[in-house]
Amino acid sequence: MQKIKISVALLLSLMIQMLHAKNDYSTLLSSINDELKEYEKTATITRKNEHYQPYIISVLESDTLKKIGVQTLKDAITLIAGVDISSDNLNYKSPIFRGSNPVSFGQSKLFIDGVLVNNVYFDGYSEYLDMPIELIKRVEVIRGPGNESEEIASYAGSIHVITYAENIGTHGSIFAKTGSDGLKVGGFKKGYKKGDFSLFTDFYYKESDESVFAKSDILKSGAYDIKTPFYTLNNSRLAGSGDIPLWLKNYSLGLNLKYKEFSFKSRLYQYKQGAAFGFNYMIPKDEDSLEFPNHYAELLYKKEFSNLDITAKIGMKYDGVESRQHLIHKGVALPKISNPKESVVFKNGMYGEHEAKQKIYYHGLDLSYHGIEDHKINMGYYISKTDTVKVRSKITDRDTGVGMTDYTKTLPFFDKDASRESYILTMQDSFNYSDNLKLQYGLNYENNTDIDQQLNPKLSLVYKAKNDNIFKLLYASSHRNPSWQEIYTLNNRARVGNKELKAEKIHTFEAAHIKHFSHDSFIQTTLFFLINKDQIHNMTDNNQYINSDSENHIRGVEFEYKGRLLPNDSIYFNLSYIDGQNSYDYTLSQVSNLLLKGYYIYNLKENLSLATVAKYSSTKDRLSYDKREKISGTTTIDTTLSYKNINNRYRVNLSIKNILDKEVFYASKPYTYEDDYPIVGRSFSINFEKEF
Amino acid sequence: MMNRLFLLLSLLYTTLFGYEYDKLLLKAQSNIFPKLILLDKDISKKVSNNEVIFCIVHHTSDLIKSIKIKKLIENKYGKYLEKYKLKIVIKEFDEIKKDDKVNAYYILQGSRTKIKKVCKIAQKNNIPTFAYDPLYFYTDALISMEIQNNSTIYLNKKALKKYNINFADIFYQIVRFFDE
Repeated sequence: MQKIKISVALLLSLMIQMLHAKNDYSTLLSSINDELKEYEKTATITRKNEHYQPYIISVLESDTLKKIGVQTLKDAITLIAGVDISSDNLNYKSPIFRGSNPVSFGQSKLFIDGVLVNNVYFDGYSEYLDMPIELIKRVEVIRGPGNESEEIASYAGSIHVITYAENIGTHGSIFAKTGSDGLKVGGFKKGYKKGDFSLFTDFYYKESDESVFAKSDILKSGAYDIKTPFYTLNNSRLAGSGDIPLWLKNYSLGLNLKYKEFSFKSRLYQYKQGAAFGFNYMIPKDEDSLEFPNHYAELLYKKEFSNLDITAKIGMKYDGVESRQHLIHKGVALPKISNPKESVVFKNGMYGEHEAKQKIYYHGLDLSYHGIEDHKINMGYYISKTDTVKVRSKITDRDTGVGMTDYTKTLPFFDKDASRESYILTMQDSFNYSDNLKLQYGLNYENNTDIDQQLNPKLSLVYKAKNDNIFKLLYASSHRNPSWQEIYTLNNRARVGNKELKAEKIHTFEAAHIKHFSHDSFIQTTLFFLINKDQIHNMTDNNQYINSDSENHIRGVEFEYKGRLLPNDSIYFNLSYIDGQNSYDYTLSQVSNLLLKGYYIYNLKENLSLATVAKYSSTKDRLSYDKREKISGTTTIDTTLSYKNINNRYRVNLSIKNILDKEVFYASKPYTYEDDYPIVGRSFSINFEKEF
Repeated sequence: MMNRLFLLLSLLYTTLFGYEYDKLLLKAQSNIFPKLILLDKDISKKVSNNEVIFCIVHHTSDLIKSIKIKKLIENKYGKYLEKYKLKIVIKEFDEIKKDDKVNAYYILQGSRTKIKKVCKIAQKNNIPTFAYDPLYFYTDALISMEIQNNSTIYLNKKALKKYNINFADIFYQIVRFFDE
């Protein structure tokens, strides 16, 4: 009996121990699973799982970008497969995705910390392309209309800049750089945190005195030679040549606050530059300027319930364009405004001050419901109202040729009553059909006062096969609203607005295969086919913006590789082949068929690296009626030596851009400048950043 | 085939300087790997003085990185890993000896030969090796982790027998076999 008792006691003790151990393991398992989920969440937010997203996305991390000598957001974007840059006479640049309409802005959207910053006037964001890399934590570039921010229809692509305000801590840094062409940059970023309250601010100031040389301006083309029964004006003899002012003076102050579920994002962005190639394609004076202020403020409320996440936002934007420049050379004669039968000679040239400012108020709501197993359903709305705040046109008197006259009311360059209301509804379901197959489908509906109603469906399928192979099939349609420049510009010889414009429309088909070799190496191949309709341009006799009656079919392939050749290096390169034609069988104009880009970083030591960036773009065809030679292809090579002092937390790098001093051009509009717009050649900079 | 080609390219070299580690992955591994030691059913028999010793193995050029990882683990766990005292040690590949009194190796970037040597010692002592990169499974490392679409802990099925570690059944619920 005694033995039985002892045996039972031992058995019970063993069982208790086993149960205890099992409980210990269960607790451990639960805590490991929780942590894994938390890291998954962080990975999604920070795009560590970029290749599993239901769109074609590339993520550029600032640590790498600094090592390879990237100075600005523009430098970063130009590393992306299939992305080229176009520019115009104002040196207003636009990233061109996969050759889609290189003569307009707004086909891609730029978001800074989730806030859309495309300005109203151009629907572009050239001013933000100059944002220094020191303020940027990460750049996410999505090719195609697919986009996380469902309310805003991206057309050919979207760029998401994540600043260090993403996770506000107490970290900070100061930075400074100097270099050729009078480059001077200084700035800081700093976070502050106390309890539930956190604050992050960043600031930079930049100036440079870049200039390039232009051989002859628009007058040489004869565009300003006028022959009437009453007089003949031979202005072509006055064609100018000289330095094109591309100097810069800009600054930005960002402020982000967070308290519990509330966050506030704001940025003052003031951008001033030389007048570039002139409003009227005539070489301006060095002191002539263009300003593109672009400010925003947004209040966000984000609350997570058990099965429902709510995000509500309200915000405002203020942006515009301001020009102070010599518009016409001394001695040029034009018809009088009051009596076109007579002409007037502008003995001292024509000077003009133009200003157009707009503001947008918006609010939106996004509901994300994940109460149905394997589904995440998003529904939302976005309403915005855009108004013109200020229009001013003050130029040399058009009848006497001397003195300044305010033409704001009589001859404005922009419609002061321009206004737009926009209503957007979205619905989307992300469905995890299985561990390996994810479907996403949705609809975006927009109705605004400038265009017909638009309904854009999209469907994507991501399949994870064995051995880290990922396959994607994507379809999306989207539209681009005409910009205000395209609709509302008045009394301007170079740009003529058109209130009858329709939205541009795109259908995108994409197929991608990604093969992972390890967490930091992959090969990706993407095939795409785009159908562009109603493309907007002003390549017309009277410079009026119109919708093209032709349909563009664009197809191509993008190939990317990232990995290592040696354990102590890092290599990335991509190749894009783009081809297409319109309904009249003309090939794509102003588009490189072949783009090759890449970087190589060799880590000499843990804290010392040498990097090279190479970019090649093939020749570009002109517009069919432009008889100039093709736009020449370009190759540029940059090199950067980077040192990081880990103990004292500072970084210094020496960067030389376009080390071979190759000539690089942006396409100029036909019958304006005879040559294309040149870019500054070889340049160097020394960059310093100290963390604290 | 491509995996192996890449492996060859990656591991042909014996000298290393300043490999670029993924910060998020390092943080995740530093937080999760120590916990996995406790899933060894015989861990109580393997520790001396009730102390778990976690050894970070690195190349000379990764010393600063190793110190950062040590700090990450200490910040997470303090001085205790559950009921055991926790000690983090840092060693270079050449310092790893057969009679090391450690309970796990966390292997950073290194040459194929040196990683293999550490794995052999771990197998002999029946202690796990945690690899920064699953590529080291080709040199017989036991456990690794990746963060991609899902956070996944990988277990090298082929090497498991060589280590002869008696993991709790629950361990197999959270890992994915590498050769799946």
